[in-house]
Amino acid sequence: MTDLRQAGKIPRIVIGLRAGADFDPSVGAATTLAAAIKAEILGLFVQEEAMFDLAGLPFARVSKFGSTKTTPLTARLMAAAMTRSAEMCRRALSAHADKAQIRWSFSIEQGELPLTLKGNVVAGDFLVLSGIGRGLGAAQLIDELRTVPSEIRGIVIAAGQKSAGQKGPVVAIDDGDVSGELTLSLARQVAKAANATIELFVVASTDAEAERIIERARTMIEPAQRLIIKRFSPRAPEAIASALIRGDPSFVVADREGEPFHDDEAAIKLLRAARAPVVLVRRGNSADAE
Amino acid sequence: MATAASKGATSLSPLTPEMLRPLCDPRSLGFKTTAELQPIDTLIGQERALGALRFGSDIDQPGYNLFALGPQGTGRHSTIHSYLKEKASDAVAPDDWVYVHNFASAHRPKAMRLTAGSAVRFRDSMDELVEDLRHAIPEVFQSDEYRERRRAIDMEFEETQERAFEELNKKAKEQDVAILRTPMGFALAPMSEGQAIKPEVFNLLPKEQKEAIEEKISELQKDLTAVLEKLPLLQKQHRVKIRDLNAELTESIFDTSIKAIADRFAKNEVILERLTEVRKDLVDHVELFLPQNEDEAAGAVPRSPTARGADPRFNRYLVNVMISNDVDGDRKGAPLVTEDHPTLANVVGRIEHIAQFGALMTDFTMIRPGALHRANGGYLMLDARKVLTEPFCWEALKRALRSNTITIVSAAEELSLASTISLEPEPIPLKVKVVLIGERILYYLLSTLDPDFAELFKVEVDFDEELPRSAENVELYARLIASIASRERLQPFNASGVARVIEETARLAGDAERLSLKIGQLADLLREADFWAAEAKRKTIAAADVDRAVAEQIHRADRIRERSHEAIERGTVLIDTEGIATGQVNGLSVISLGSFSFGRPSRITVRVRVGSGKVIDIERETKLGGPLHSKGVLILSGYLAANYARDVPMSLWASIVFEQSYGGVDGDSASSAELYALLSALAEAPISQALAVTGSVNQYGQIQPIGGVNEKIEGFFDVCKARGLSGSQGVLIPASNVKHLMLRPDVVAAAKEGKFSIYPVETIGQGIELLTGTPAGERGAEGVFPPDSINGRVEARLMRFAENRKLFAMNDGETEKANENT
Repeated sequence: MTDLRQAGKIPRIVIGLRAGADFDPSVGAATTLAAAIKAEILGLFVQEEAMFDLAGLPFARVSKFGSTKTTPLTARLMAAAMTRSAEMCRRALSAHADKAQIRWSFSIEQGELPLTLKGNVVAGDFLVLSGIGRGLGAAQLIDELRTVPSEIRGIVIAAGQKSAGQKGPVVAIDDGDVSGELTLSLARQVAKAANATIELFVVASTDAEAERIIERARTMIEPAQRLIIKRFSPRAPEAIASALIRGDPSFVVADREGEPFHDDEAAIKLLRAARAPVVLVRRGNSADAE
Repeated sequence: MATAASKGATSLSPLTPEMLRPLCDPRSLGFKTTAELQPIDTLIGQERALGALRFGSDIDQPGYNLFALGPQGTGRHSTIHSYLKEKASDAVAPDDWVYVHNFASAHRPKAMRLTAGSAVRFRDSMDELVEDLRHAIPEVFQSDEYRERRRAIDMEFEETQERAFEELNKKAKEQDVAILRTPMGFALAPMSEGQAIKPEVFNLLPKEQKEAIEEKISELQKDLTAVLEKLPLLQKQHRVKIRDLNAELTESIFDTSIKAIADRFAKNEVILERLTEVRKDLVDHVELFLPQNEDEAAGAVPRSPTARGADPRFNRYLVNVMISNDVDGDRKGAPLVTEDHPTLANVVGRIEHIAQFGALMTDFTMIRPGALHRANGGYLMLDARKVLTEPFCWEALKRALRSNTITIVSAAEELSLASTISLEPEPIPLKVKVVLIGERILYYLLSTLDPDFAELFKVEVDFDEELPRSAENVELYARLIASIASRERLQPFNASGVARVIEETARLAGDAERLSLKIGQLADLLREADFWAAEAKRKTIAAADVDRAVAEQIHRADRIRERSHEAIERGTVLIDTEGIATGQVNGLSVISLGSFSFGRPSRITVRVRVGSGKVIDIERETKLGGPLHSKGVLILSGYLAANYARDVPMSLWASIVFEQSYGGVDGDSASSAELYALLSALAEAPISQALAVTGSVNQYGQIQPIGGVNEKIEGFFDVCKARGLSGSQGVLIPASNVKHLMLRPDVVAAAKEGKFSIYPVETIGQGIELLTGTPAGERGAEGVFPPDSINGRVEARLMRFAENRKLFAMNDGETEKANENT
């Protein structure tokens, strides 16, 4: 694939892929977002050095789900498994992106995922991270969220899969800060592409603040789009989580530094409740909303 | 008393024209046209068959199925059908049968017996149930209550899972170990300063440190394994909780929907029991009603069409109606089914399959009923020949009747060709009266060769093909003609037309004293006569129209006869119809081509010389003669040996041949002709070639009846007529065949004019006298034949053969000379 970024201002979505993680939700979320904002996708498969180091140790063994037996792990086996995983990721990306007619590229690098991603993203990119999978997910995700480069426009977390065949609303969580504009803009584009309703979760402590947020939203969405407004108090992640469960959204857009995702524990709870791709926009990039 | 060999022909005179074709006098019929006659609503002359039919259809015992035997065209099918139809219409409609999914064992669909008329309603109700649930259940799953409770279960599960890992992770971290998720599973990596220890670093570590790390990892590995081992159990608990939630929220919907159906079938225990099963399965499989995945919903993966229902997921709740006896609709009474194409599948039913991505798929909705299903509780009519010639059908039918159940099997299963798993539908109890219709030969073959047959088909419904030509029966026959004319919307027949038809049916019966009961042929003749009457613009059908119909039938079929006679006329086939010849006689044979038969003369010749008492049948030697023909020739030897030169060894060598016969010859109807030729050769008495001979002979020289006498006479007549009738020409027939004569009018006319004669012959003596003009001769008081008689000359010749043979035996050299003198 050619480097499209040199040709103009095509937004880019970088998917951080690693062996052993569920890659399909990440690729699916990236494709949905790319289709909405007309972006290209870079699949970056990182063969983690730590795994090769482990495989080189004489006592290295692996345990599997539901099994009481362990099997020896060698460098040769690890290399073969890495290659297989990378190929599966490439095929998944190809299938999703080609179906949605999205330009894509795929590359494999060796190193540590956060560092490799840091070296590959540039200002304005969206970065897709794997969501919470079986075991290790939450802790690892928190670690990765903390190490994400600050210049990126947003983080996409493939937090579980939407119930098959259902088309829930696109939820935008706006606490009224400067990232709100980008949040709503993205939500609008995704909702338009998916022909979905926008549910605006207004997080405001006063009525005036809430009014301001709602007014901004009304000016931003297109006349044909349907907007549902729900209001929440700040520091009430349980209420928002409950609303996400009931609403069963197909996509969620929020502010990483704003309410309620600035708190890691709350963020994990909300990601679990959302069961949908969540885009966390970064403060300081709101100017690039369009 | 004269023997058969010696009885002369002094009193033998030709038959009178009246004896050649006993006519039916139109005036004796007593009506002008058939329009005046009361149609007849039953078969005539079939009292035996009708009695058997009544008995067989009434008796309610196992094995009393019927076999209707008789020639084609005797009205077996239509008679049985109309009788059973009436009987079935008065009977009580049998129960309905359906197949449903077996929740306990999917490959063995369950058969359900339902009261007549309820199957279709039950099927529609179940269709409605599925349709209702397809809309109602997803709404439950989209409710806030369901989502919240479901998500709570999911989150609890995820957190439990995470917690287990977190604890382990914490413990590992404290010991400088990291848990890595590799593509092959989870692994433990020793860490140093936040980084995994590289192999080269590990190798440089002191032995004690290495062992400590390995020990540490080994211990943690046990903990990791314990956590991972627990996960499937957690998943199972998670699934159970979700199932319980689904059941809790949907049970009330199921109950409401099922109750609506149960109310409709409140008195039907079988249906109520089924509804209970369905409810349980719905609760257990509520996830079936969840929306499909996106690809399926969008149609990205093409789905093959299914037998029923738009969505195969719900087929398990549908009802496949095998038999529905709609008591309020068209199907009142017991069923009467006629299966014209009785293949295995058409008789016992079949299981259809659909190809789906290269595999053959099926389910209970693709079970199709066979004739036995449709006839269950009623009557099934089958053509015996078709049943026997269709692979596996006969065995399957017997199996069903023996076991009183219908089990669906395919030909592939019978041949053990299909090794794939298919359905084994529960057999359906069978109570049916089967009527097989076939020729007599099939009945007798089955009786002889199939031991099951007599047990399963105990009622023989024997249809006669002939009726005595009595005045009473002629009257009935006229009414039968009237009935057919009325039913077929033909013009009425006038008395002359009816009389002519009756004569023709006697001809069809091959007997002047009987009438054919082959209703099919009769109906054809009537229809064709009607056609020719219309052509002639006649309002009633007359004798001329029947004559035309007969003539046209013959004309359409007689190309081969024409060619055969033409070959004789042109001298290609050598047949003399004038003059005399020694050891040569005109025999007669019949050739049957389809429904048309015709006679043809054949030259039979005999050569004799001294020998060891052997009569050679050249047909047999060349394997052109059948067993009956060979038997006839051997009888000649017996006749000669018993009648002539009884005190000396038989010293004859004779050869007999059908000249210019290149196909097979069978039957013994030419045996008298062969004997005449043999006697002529031995007596050196020439035979008149103006005469032809038919009839078989026994060892006493008595002439016995043969078949096809009319065709044989007409065959010779046609050849003579073509060459010009001389007045001396005629045919010798067995006297016992006189009653069978129904000759063509032109033959009768020639006889009337004295141009052609038919001689009824009882003995060889009569025949040889007529053929040679020489008395046969009787043994006198001294026991010898008159020397100039045929018999005397034959005996003298045989005596000379014996003497010469004796001389030859005594003096080899002289024998040949003696033979020359002979």
